[in-house]
Amino acid sequence: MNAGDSLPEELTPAERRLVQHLELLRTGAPTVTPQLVPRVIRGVRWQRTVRDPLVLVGAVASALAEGLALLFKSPRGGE
Amino acid sequence: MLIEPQRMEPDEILIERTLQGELSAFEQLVERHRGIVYRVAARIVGSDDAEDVSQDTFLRAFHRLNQYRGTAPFRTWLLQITQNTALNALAWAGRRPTEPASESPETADADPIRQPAKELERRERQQRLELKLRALRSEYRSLLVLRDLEGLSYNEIADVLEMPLGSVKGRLHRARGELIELLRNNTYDWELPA
Repeated sequence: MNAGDSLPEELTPAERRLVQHLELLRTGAPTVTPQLVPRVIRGVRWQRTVRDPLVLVGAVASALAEGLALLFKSPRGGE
Repeated sequence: MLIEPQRMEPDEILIERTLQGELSAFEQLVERHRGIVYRVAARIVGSDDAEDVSQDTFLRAFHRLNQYRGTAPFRTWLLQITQNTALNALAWAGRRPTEPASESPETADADPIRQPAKELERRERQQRLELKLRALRSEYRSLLVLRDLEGLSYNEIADVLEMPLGSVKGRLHRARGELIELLRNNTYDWELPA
């Protein structure tokens, strides 16, 4: 229990009734399908395979662009 | 799959193992937190998109795991990603969710004629309530979902929604007030005292 939760919550009668109604949604909570875990792990595997090479290509392209920009950049104020 | 209590490793250990390249450790983290991630996602984007949002949440978490500092519980950090991913999905789709999220696949297909009247009435109330909850602005909806449906502490909500503790309490009060007003304007009698 956190400090902010140590005091009992003061609810108005309407709020108390509302919280009771919301209990309906708690009991009928949506349930996740068992396929989620394998889907996530497949996604991780696939992304791990392509992500690192893509990050490398991106870094090289970015460095090249920066290098070219430096090479062809006109000197400031020089006319 | 049931894991024996003595073999339940804390999240921090599983995170460490994941960062060392052990995918099975991350699988355990997903297994452990998939329920709450899915429920929160479903309440924000609707059950049709909840699985995609949950998957995106875990993928983002995996790639950002080295940024997790451990200052808050892993669940809090994960719910923060869930909340942002769900809101992004809503913004990207440019819409508010319309269909109720309380329908599990088994109950959604059930023949209404075979269900007792009481159960039908409960389902109808559930759906009406769900729709009214969806009519709230996303911030209020998130507050009600995290506090009144998932039972998170104020401190944890403050961390998930990245707002001061005082704001959580104040806005939660306003969120409940707004939902009460919506329900009072509903033709169904929710017996909400003044």
